[in-house]
Amino acid sequence: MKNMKPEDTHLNHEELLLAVVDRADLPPVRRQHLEQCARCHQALADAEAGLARMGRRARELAPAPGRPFRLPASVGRERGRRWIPLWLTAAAAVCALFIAVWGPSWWARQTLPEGPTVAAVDDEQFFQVVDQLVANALPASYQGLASPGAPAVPVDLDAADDFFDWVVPAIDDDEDLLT
Amino acid sequence: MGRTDAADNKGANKDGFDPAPLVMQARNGDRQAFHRLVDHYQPQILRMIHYRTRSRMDAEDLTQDVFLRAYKHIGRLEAPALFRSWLYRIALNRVRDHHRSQRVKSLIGFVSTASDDFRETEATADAPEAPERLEAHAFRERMAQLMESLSRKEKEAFMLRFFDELSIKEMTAAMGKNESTVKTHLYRALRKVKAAAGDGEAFWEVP
Repeated sequence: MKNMKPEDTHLNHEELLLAVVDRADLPPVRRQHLEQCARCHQALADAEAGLARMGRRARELAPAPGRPFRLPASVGRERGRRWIPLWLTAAAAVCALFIAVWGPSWWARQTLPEGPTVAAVDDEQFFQVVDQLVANALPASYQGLASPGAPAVPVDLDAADDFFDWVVPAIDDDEDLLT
Repeated sequence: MGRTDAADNKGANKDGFDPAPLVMQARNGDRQAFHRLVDHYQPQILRMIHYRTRSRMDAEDLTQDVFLRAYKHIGRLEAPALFRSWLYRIALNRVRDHHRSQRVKSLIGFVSTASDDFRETEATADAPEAPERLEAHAFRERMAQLMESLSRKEKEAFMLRFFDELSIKEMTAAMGKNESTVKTHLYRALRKVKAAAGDGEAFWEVP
């Protein structure tokens, strides 16, 4: 028994069941053994015969049709309609939903003129004004005073005189005050 | 068992009946052609449903419904040669629907159910002569005992193969599974039936 080759051993129960399902599923060596071994061949035939007997008995005990089927005159066949696979229906539904939700905004984007939008132009102008205010917070006439090193800015001389008169009043004015 | 399914490839069933020409005629609206198909397959479908519902009345009703649906949707059948498998598929779905509705009815107390099989009462059952009835009862009990441990799919595979005599290829179409899955269900079913039969007995002998 120890030196027995696989092709020499008889089919076990598992292999027998495998052969009942489909003997082509047996490994080639075991299939070859089945073809050559009378004992295994008989075991398989007995198993198949037992199952066939079982099926035959079930069929014998089942009833014969009592009501012959005839199509009602009103029944029609489906015409011109082919089976649409479920996945295709689902894909179409997703596409329709996508178009319904994103379609209008996509269309609006497509119809805008090329280049910056009106809003973008407004933003740009606004930030230019802000930049200018940050860089030159004082009126132009005072910028030279606030920043001595800054480049000379044309000053309105009358306004400058008024400012100095207010800061350092003239003596004549004092005299007027004394009188 | 173990047949090569060569007949399936040509469209003819094991009994030599080729449904394809009649199916093509029925698709073109020929009602007589459809009736000829019904005449050939009605006994098989009725038996198949009867095994699963255990009620002759339900089996008759469901069989009528199967053929009505088949006629309405015959245009959808892509391969006329697989008409028989397609009928079995419709029938399996109708049986499943029937069992579901029976469960719902049982929940609200309209019918009583016993496990997964619905047994008819003596009043609605066929009433054959006593010895035959006893023998039939013994056979059904034996079947129920052998298949007790099988899952729904395993039971389906076993019955389609050995009671309804479908080939593996026909089973794949009827069950909507690939060949490997069908064979796996069948193999497991056989193992469990073998185990239920016991070592001391011949291979699944039945009374």
